[in-house]
Amino acid sequence: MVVPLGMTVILRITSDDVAHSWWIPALGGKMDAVPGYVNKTWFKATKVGTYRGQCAELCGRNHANMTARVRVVPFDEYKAWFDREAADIKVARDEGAKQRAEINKQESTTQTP
Amino acid sequence: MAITSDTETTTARRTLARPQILSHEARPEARGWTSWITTTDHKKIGIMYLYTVLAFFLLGGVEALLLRIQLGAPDNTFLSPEKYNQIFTMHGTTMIFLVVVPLWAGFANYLVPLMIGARDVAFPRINAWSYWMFLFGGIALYASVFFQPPEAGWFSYVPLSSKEYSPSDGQDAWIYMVHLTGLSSMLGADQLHRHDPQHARARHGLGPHAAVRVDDPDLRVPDRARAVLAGRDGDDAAAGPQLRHALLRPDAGRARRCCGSTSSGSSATPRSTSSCCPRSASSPRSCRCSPASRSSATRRSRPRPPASPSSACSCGRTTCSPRRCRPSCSRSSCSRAS
Repeated sequence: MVVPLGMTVILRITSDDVAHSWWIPALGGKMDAVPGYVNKTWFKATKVGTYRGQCAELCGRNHANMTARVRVVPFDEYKAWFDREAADIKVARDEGAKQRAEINKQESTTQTP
Repeated sequence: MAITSDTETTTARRTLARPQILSHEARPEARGWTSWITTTDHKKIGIMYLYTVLAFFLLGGVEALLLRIQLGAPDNTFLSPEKYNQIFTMHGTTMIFLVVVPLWAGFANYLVPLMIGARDVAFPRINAWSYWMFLFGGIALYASVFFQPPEAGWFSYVPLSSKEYSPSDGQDAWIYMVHLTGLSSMLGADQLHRHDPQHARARHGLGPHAAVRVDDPDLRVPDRARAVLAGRDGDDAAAGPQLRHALLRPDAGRARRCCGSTSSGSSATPRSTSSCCPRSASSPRSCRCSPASRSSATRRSRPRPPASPSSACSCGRTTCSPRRCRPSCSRSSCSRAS
C-alpha cells in the first residue's frame, strides 16, 4: 500500500474468505478483517518510510507468510504513483474489454451457419 | 412405677425423632482399580481429575516444546505449517479445556465438600459422570492425532473452523471435545452451586465460595459450544436442529464487530464471547435484546395473579407450594396453612 505523507488515511477493512487482521504496529492497533462486515480504522503517517506488518488473526496454514507493507511517500510522489496505477488499470480494462469483444464476435460468427 | 413409664415414653419419642437410613442392599466395598472407575466419592473423583489434568498438562507441555523448537531459529523447517498449526491448536485446546478448567474441578471436588462439612457433592453420580465426560472428551480430541488433528486454533473462529475451510475430521473431534468437557464442567460447577453459595459464604468463609465462583464461567460454556457447532454450518452430525442457524458466522449478517474475532486475547474466552454478542449468543441470559427474552422480561414484570387461598402458606408467600419455598417454609408448615 502506498499512502501520502501527513494525510489521514481511512481504511475500510473486510475479507472475502476467513477472518484476518490488519496490523502495522508502527501505524496503530490491529483491526479485524471479517467477511461480511466492514471495519473502519485510520492512520496518519508523519514520517516517510516503509512500514511492515503481519496478519494478526490465524487464517490458515500460511498465516505466518501473510505480511503487509505500507510505503509512506510525499504527496507529489503519491499523486504520480496514483495516476500511474490509474492509467495502468485503465489500459488493462480496455485490453480486457477488447479481448471480450473479440471472443464474443468469434463465438457469434462460429455459431451462425 | 411412674418413673419407669416416663422413661419409656421419652425413649419412644427419641426413637421416633431419630432420622432413619434404610439400606436396600449392601455391596462389598470395591477394591483395587475397580474402586476408582466405579467411585462416586468426591475425594477420589477429585484425585482422578488432578491426575488426568497432570497427564494432559504434560502432553500440552511437550507440544509447547515442539512449537518452541520450531520458533527457536528463523526459517526453521522442523515443523511444516500444517503440523505447526495442528500442534498449537492441540496445545491451546489442551491447556484451556483439559487443564485450566478441570484443574479447578479437581481441587473444588476434593475440597469444597470437606470445607463446608458436606458428606459429598449434591449428586455424586452426576459428579462422577462429569469426570468421565471430561476424560473421554480429552480422549476424543487426542484420538484425532491418529488421523488429522484440528488446526484452527483453540478458539476455532468461524469461518476458518467451518467445514469449508477446515474439512478435516480433527475439527469435528475438537467439537466433540468441547461438548463433552463443556457439559462436564457445567455439571461439575452445578454440583458445587447446589451447596448454596450464599450459605457457604456466610458460614464457612470465602474459600469454598471462591471455588464456586471460579467455576462460574463454566456455566457459560454451552454458548461457546453452540456457536462453534453452528460454525459447522448445520451439516455436522452433532448439530441438532436448534443449532442450525449460523450464530457466529459473521457473513450471516447478524454479527457485531466484536464477534468476528478480537485483537486482544482475553476476548476470546467463552465468557466474553457470550457477553459481547448480544444477538448471536444463544442463552436468554446473555441475549438481552432478542425479542424472545424481551417478552419474557415483560411477562415477569406483570403482577402475578393472586394465588388461590389453598396455596397460601404460613411463611407468607402467596404462591408457596411445599416444594418451592424450602427451606424458609417447611413442608409441614405449608400443609398446616392449607
